[in-house]
Amino acid sequence: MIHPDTVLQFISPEIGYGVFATRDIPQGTITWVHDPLDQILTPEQIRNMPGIYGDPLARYTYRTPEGNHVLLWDLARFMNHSCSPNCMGTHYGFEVAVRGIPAGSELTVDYATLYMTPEEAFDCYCRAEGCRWRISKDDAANLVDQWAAQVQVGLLHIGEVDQLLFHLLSNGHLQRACGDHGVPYQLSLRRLF
Amino acid sequence: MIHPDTELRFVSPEIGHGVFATRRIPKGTITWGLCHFDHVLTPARRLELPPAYAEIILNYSYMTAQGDAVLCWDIGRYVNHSCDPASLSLSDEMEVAVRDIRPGEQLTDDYGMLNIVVDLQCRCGAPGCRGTVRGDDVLRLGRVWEARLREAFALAPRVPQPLLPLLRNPRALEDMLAGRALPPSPSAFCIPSQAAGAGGRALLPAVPDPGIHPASA
Ligand SMILES: [Zn+2]
Ligand SMILES: [Zn+2]
Repeated sequence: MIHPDTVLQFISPEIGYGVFATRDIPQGTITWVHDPLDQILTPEQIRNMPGIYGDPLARYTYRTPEGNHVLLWDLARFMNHSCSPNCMGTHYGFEVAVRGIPAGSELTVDYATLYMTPEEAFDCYCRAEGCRWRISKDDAANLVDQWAAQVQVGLLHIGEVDQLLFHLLSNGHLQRACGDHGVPYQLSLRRLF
Repeated sequence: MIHPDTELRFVSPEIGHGVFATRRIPKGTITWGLCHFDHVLTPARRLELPPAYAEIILNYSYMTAQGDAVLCWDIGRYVNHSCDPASLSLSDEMEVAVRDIRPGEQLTDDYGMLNIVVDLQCRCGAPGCRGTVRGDDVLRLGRVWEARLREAFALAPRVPQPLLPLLRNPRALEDMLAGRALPPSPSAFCIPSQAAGAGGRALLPAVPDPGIHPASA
C-alpha cells in the first residue's frame, strides 16, 4: 500500500499518471509496503490467461527474483522511474523515502532496482541530474553499492518520523532490513500507527 | 476490466475521480466485465485481511449475489453512480451500455444493482434522482432495469465487444450473444437480504467517492 499522503496525477500523454505527495513526506518515512491485496501471479497463472493480457502485464506488473509478476492493487503501480529516486525498495517488501519529499512533488523509484529482463531496457527522459539515459538490468552491477548507501540513509531516520504504514509491515522485516544495512534498529519508533 | 475506450478524470473534490469515454461506445456494448486481474474476495478471505482493509473494500468494491466482494483491479473501481446511468449490470460479472455513450461522457452505473451494504445519499443531478440509493432498490426498480437491459442487449450481437476475450467467464456472454441464453433477471443477482440492515456485512458508513484511494478516507 502506498503512503496515504499521496494522490494520482496526470502528467502528460507520454508519461501518463504519476504519484504525488499531498503533504511533506520526511526522509525515513516508509512510503510503500507490499500488502495482502497486491496480487502475485505465477508464470503458470499467466500462461493460463489469454494472450491479450500481455499488454497490461507488461505495463502494470513488476517481477520478483523468483519470476512471479506482482500486480500492485493501488496507486503504487503508477510510480514512475527516476535516475535520482526519492524512494528506494528493500528486500523486505517495503520502500523508504531516502530524502524528504516535499508536498506536490512526485514519488519515484529506480526501475533498475526491480528485476528487469534484458528486453525491458528503456530510454529515460527523467531529467534528473545524473540521468543514465538508458536504463537496463545491467545498471544494477554498477549501482548496487550506491543504492544500499541510499537505503541506509533512509533507514537511519525511520525512528524520527511518523510511520503510517508500520502496521502493514511483516513481523521482523524492518529489523532485518536495518540489520542488512548496518543501521541500529530503534525499538522505540517515535509514532507508529 | 473496464472498456478500453475510457480514461480516468478528476471530477471534483466532492466526487473525486470518474471514468470517461474517449470514443463513442454504442448501446449494447459490454462496458465492464470481470477479468482475471479483478479481486474476488470471499467472506473468509476478507476476515483474514488486516482491519484497515474493511473500509477500503467498502469504498472500492461491490458485492456479488454470493456475498463475495469484487474489487476492480483497474479504473473500473472509479465508476460513479447515476440514477440515469449509462450502463446497467447485466449480471454480477458484467455491465452493458444502455444508451450510446458519447466521447467525453462519463460512464456511470446504478449502485442499486451492486448489493451495497449501506444506503448512499445521491446528488447525481439526473432528472428523477432517487435521492437515496438502497441495497433493495431491485424491489422497486427490477422490472424497469430488466426492460432496459433486454432492449439494450438486443443490440449486443451487432456492436464490437472488445472485452469478450478478456472476460474471466467468456462463456456466459458468448451464450447470450448467440441467443443460447437470456440475460438474467436483475432479481437473480440483486439480493436485497444481503443489503443495508441485513447485519454482519455493513462495515462502515459510505464516503462520497467510492473509488478514491485510501488517502481520501
Ligand atoms: Zn533518467
Ligand atoms: Zn441520483
